[in-house]
Amino acid sequence: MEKQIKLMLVEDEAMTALYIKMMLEKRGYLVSIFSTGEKAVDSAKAEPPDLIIMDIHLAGEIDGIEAARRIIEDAYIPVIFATGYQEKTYVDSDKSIKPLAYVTKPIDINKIISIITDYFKKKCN
Amino acid sequence: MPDSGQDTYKAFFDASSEAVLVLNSGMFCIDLNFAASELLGKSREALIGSPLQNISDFQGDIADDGFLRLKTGKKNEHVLSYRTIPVSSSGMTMLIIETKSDIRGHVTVNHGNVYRNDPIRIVLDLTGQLMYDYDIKTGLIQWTGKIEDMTGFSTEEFNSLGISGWEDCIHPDDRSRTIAQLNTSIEQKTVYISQYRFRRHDGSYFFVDDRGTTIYDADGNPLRMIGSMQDIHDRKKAEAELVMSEARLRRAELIGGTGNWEFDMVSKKVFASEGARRIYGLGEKEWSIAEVQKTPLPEYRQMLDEALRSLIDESRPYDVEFKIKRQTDGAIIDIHSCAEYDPGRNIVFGVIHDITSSKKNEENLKSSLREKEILLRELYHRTKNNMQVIASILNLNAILSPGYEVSQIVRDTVQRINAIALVHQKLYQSQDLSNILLGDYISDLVRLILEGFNRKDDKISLDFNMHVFPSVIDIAIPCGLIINELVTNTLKHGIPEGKSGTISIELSRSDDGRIRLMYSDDGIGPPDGFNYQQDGSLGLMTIRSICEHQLSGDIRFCSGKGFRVSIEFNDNVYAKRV
Repeated sequence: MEKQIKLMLVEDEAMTALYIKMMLEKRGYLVSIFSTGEKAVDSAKAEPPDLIIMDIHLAGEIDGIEAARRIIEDAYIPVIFATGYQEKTYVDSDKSIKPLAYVTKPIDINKIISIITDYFKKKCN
Repeated sequence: MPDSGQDTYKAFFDASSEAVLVLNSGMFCIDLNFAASELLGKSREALIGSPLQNISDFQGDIADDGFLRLKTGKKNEHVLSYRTIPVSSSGMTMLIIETKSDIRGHVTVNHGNVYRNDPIRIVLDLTGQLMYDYDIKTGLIQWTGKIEDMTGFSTEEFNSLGISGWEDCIHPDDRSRTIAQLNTSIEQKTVYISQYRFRRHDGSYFFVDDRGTTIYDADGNPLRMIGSMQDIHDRKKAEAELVMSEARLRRAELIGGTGNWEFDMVSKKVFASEGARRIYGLGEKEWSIAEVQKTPLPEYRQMLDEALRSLIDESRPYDVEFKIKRQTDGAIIDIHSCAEYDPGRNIVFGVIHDITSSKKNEENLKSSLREKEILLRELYHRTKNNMQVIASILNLNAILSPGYEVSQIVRDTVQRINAIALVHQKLYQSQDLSNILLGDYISDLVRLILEGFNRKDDKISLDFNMHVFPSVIDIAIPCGLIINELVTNTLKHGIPEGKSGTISIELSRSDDGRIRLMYSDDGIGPPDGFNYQQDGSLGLMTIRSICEHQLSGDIRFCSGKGFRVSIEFNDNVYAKRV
């Protein structure tokens, strides 16, 4: 049985998270949702996901960039940032993160699926 | 008394108010009367036998009339006019000093017009003074000088005024004080000095400086007062203007928070105006530069020294801002100082301005601008997020409600959008654009939903028990979406159209920030065996997802009549944004 790809969705907006989760699960991915950066870091350290979809503005003390930085300091995990133009500059200023991709809100779910699919295809090859 | 021998003549000689000296042919004084002794300030005995040169600057032959300078005491001198009368053929001369005066007002004059062509008259004219001889017993006053020019009265009119007329001409506000000063000086045998307003013939007043000396008889009874009255109106006016000008400067410095200073490069002293002293907290007008330089905070010392050096050496503008610790209370004050160097006087003159409040305003302005930038950024972020939520709602509707009519989906979606929009309306109406009153919002939202369902009638009763507390947008919007789903559920299923019922909402917040929301209706309630956790309707999924995921809260569906749910979460999930 093929191992199910685990995705971490860090998004504090419930309706958005619910929608993205449902759409990705339809594609066969296993999706876990976190609304704060702290919870996401704790979970990723305990059980690293295969890929992270990270919002930047989050509930809690740390933002998505800091959460991503903490997660990948142990081992690299590809991160797709849901961001705006200004936030992209902000992400780029932290050279340690090297995001897999950026998507802007409102999120085009097909674009996310396409990025994820391409990434894992390349990884398999 | 030679050649007289007559007692009557002797008495007249002694009682004469004129100073009379009898000189022999060698110009030695061989006799003199009381008035001469008094004038010269020496006893009769001391003066008899003295050459005239010892008591005056007289040199050579004495003329029929003229002027001589009399020495009276160690320092006093009088320039006086005289006339002489030869006494028979003995070679003796009677020297009658018609006038005894000095320009300081220690004057004795004869009654009558004695000032013709004399230097006293010239001095009077030049200095704008009137001289007077006040006969204390009769109350008559003889005035001399340019009376008409000064007072507008003719000489005759003025001389006829007497003491009572003079008193009448004194300004009523100055009168009693002036008369008291006059009487006191006569009683206490002191020089009379008074300044007061005197009325001209035309009724206008002018300031005068009045000084006089009283002459007493041998028994100490006052006989006459000789004095001068000087027009000092222009001086008084100038003084008043100066006082006013200084008061204006002080006021301007107080209002403007400014001061001025002058640094004498030679004495190393700093003169500080009242405003400058107030700002720096200095007590005295003059300070050493070392003391003044202690006031600015140490970190500005080098900059200030360099600014002063380049002003003096290179004529560069001195225009600096720095902070001081005020010497009186230790307050930190922002200062703006500008200065100029005056090489002629070798001084630096400067002005200082207390800019503490404007600096504070500048900081507030910057802070306000930063806040506005954050607000604007937050607005963009929130708008983008809300678009995302709306898009997600529509997408979820498309996935989860394939059988629904489009109109119903549209209505449900519009309601959810309205729930979000109402938060923004409340935010716009709030004081700080960041918080809204959660209970107030929920109350309005429920009524809005009822209106949307066309159920704003008496059949639906509302029973609200909600505490008043503010909430950030990140709490208010998910709460609003939950309430929207709950009320929609009640109106669709619990108390459908045509049925009556009550919607109850309780909202409270504990001291530790735990928010508790109780929602219930007394409607039909869910069917038996309904599983809230497994129900796949968008409404319940929304409630569960928002509560558990977004608010990190607890949700509990309660059994019993109708529908009842309890939601609890912490309000510190989101920090205050701005």
